[in-house]
Amino acid sequence: MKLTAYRHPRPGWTRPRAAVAVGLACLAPAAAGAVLAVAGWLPDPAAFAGPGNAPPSPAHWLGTDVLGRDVASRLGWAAARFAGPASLAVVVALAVGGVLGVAEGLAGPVGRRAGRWTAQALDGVPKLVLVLLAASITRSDLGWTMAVVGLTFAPQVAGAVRASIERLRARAFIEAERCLGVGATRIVLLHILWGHSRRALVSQVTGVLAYAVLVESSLSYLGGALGVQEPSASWGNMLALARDGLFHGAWLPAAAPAAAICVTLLGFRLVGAGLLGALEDRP
Amino acid sequence: MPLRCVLLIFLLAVAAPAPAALRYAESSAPSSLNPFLVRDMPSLRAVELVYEGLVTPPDAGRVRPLLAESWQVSDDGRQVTFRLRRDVLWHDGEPFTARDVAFTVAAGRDPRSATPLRAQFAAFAAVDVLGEHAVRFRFARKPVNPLLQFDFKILPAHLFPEGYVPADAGSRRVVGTGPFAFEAWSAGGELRLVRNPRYHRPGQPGIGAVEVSPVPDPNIRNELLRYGALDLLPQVRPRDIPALEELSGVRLYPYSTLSYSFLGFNFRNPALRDRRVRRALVHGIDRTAMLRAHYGGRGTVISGPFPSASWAYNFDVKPWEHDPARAAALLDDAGWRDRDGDGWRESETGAPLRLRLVSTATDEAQKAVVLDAEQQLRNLGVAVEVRFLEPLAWREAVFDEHAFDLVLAEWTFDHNVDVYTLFHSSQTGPGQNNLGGYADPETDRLLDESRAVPDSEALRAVYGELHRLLHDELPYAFLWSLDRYAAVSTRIEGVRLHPFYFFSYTGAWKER
Amino acid sequence: MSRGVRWQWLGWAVGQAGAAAVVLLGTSLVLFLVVEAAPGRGPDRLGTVTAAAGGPVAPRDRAGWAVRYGRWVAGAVRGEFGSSTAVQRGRPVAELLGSAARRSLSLSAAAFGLAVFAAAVVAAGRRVLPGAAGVAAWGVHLASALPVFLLVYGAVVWLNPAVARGAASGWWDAPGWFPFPSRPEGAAWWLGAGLLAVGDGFLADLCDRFSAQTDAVGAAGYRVGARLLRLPRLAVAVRATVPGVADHLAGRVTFLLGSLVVLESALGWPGLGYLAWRAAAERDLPVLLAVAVLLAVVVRTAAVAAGLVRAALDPRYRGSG
Repeated sequence: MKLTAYRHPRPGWTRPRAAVAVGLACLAPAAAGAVLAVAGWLPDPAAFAGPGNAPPSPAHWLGTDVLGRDVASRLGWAAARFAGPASLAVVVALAVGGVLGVAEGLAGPVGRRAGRWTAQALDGVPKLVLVLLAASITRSDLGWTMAVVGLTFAPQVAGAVRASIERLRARAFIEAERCLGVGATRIVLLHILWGHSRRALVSQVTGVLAYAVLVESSLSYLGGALGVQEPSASWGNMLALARDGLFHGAWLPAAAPAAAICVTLLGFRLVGAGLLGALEDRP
Repeated sequence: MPLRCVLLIFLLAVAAPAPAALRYAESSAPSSLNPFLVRDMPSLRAVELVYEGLVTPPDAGRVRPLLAESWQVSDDGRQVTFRLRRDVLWHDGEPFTARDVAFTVAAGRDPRSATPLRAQFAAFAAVDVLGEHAVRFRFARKPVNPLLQFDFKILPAHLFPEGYVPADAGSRRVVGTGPFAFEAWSAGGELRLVRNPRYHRPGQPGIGAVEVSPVPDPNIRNELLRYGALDLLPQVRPRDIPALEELSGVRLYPYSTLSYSFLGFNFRNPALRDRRVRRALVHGIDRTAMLRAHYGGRGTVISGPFPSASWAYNFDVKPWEHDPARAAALLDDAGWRDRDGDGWRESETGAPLRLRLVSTATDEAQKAVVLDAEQQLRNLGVAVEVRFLEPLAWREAVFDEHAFDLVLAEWTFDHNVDVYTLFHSSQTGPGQNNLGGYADPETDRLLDESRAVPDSEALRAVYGELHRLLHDELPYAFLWSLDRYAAVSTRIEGVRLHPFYFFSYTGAWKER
Repeated sequence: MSRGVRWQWLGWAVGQAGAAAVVLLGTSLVLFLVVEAAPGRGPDRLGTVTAAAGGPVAPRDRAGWAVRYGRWVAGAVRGEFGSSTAVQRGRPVAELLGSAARRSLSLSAAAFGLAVFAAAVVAAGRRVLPGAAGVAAWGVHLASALPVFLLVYGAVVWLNPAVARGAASGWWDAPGWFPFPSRPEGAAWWLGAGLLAVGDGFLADLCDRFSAQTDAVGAAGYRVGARLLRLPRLAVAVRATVPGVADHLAGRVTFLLGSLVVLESALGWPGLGYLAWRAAAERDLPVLLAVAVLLAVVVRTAAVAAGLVRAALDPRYRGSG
């Protein structure tokens, strides 16, 4: 049994930092793929470039899928294509969550109650069901779907913001700043959100991103009208098209997107957990 | 060996007594169990187990008595008198009488009934109840073969006191006279039918129960069949046939459905009204190679509007060849050229040739065909925007909203291979079968003629001519008729399949 | 506990339930409006479905949305949610929901129990066998990075052939055995629950949280405080741990239900999740709305239950209600 005293942030290699580093390493392949795709260094992802289910070769690093399209290129393009909607999810979550959290923490009693109930009402619907509803109504527009993913995470973000406001309330500097005539917007944006909630918010962002990846790949994998439509590439629909191959001996076209999904999810999760851990390490 | 014990316990937990039932899987659950409301094959197959018609469904042009004992066709061919069986009971115990027959026809003609079969019932001018067990049909005009007009199922009059079949009847009041009676329909779509002990054919049915479960994933369907959790798959994919042929507990049954796949053109798009463009698109896709790549070559490329296995198919007409050079020339000729060098063809005004292709995404082969066609047309400089839809959304987009330029679909026909509603210019409204809005006076003339011919030889001649005409006019890019295989467990004996209704002979099947 | 305190308790609980009901009404109103605003077919609109069931030509409902929502709520209170427009056309939604809800809720409850148990074992193991628990925690994190749909397909692809091969080589006898996803019963059902417990990061998250809590309780401050006040250590630990854990678990219910949708749709098992999936894919909005509200009730109930636990165990909380 080990007696742990209060820990102080130490310079050097701690567990949270290791987690963040490993997590970033896990995210690197997807990021690199997206950059390569945007920079135009990957072949056309929709072109039938060779025979179906070909093994890896210099021309096709990860082989080809059942229709003869380059798997590596499709992986990269899928990441690139997903980056925009995923950022939209993050922006929506931060904007809506930030407003709700500040309302809950700083507004008057009416605003506080309204903020809390709005957050609770939003939080009440299971996230995926709300996303399904959005996908169904907008006929699987990825932007809308991801905006709703962001929306469903707003209550969590609001919770984090409110918690840090409550923590800061104990230290009198908000009052002090008010006395000194600092504007409310400046206090909220610069001191509360950026100065003291930064890490908590970034860890929320990783949560949103992980969920966005999960939702997109689940919807596209299950197929039908709700996911990303062929011939556009997405990790989920690559997997959906490749699963037949598993029964006919071609496992690489399925394994590649599956690995991409898992490694990316693991990366987001590790970064988030590491940031939270670093937060708890503080005095 | 502890590991072995653990595994044994696991297996005992999973083990279940082998059920006395015929278990089969469909890609989607039946959507309705009322024969009037059926629009999809899973529902059609399930309905066939529960309901019966006056005569057996036509197979190779022949019908046999079923609910009717005998019939008499009048000399002018405009009246048919049926003598009905007296020993038939509905599943709820009520006797079957001529009133049920009269009700079925009246309900089918009633505009309040939500049925797509109204056109079929409109062929009757009147139905006279001649007694408890006799009924006479009078036709509005003489049909080619009157007996082929009676493949509809009879509904129980006593369960529809309102006199018509409402749209919500699909899941309730499921009572027929067939070999299996409805027992339960779970919210997940699993359907259970049990043996009808009062079935009018002695000794039938030989199977205790039928269970239908929806299994969307074809790979999982195969696995379930392989390991004995299912006894029958109505349709196996061509690519799985080699693997299934090796299984000892499963037998494959080929059956020639009268069906074909096509790429339909929407004539509401002015670009597609130009015959050169349509011909170019047909020349631009390699149907033989696609059939080989995605269906293992198990099918026939067709040239016209009839399934290749039907009596109406005109073998003198050969399919258009795959010829990209000719296709490019035709498009150039029609004014679609790549004017700005971006790889896509534009009209004189600079509008690109961009077509929306809608398809369902229920099976991988179909998905592959769509993507393959998209790729081949792209090489031709034609931009195709692919949209995969769920069956219902697809139906809405194609039949109601006509929101497409190209549609990949398949028609399945009964023995009559009646293509009137597919190509006649009067059938272009929302919900009607002429989904592309194709209108051509010559085609209309031939189709009208097909309704008025005196006998089947004349009909064959008219259809032959129609085949040649549509091969030139190309309301669709006709693709292929696929060979169908059903996989049935060797536990089931006496298997015989109907090419369209599938389960028509299941009463005679036996369980080993 | 005096009489007054008990009354105060009851008042608090009623207040919580009332607040939950108000929030739920708000949630359902939002869902209702979203569904109403959806572009779609006229006669399938929610308020008019029951009328449309009478015949194919239904008069278009001209009432305002507030009236239609009121009507919908009144129907929902009576257990009527209209009829399905696509999944099983014409069938009352309530009929579809009944058995599906029972199946899905028991499956998610089993998954929830499995995950909590496994996470508790790992967290407790950290004090007994730190090395093994560390390895287990890493294993959990890796397995948990797999999405549920991948776990499901992995089970289909590898488990069935393995069992069949074992039977073929005489390792075991498997009379009447049926392969994995065929039926939600027995071992297959438990396997499904296990996949649900592990996948989508659920188990990893619980492990992290439980470990953090045990660390916090093990910290010197708590132990010294307990010793000085002569309180039983276990009571202090429970009071310090359970409310936070309960809050966290309640927050995870929404994710678990999301995974349930994916699991059931991937396996084709009948249940609320599969129903929600099909309803969304086929735009069967009455069914989708009813499922969403039903699941919202589950989520809300979990939140209220967590609030109750906290109120019962944490003396600091009750005052601020």
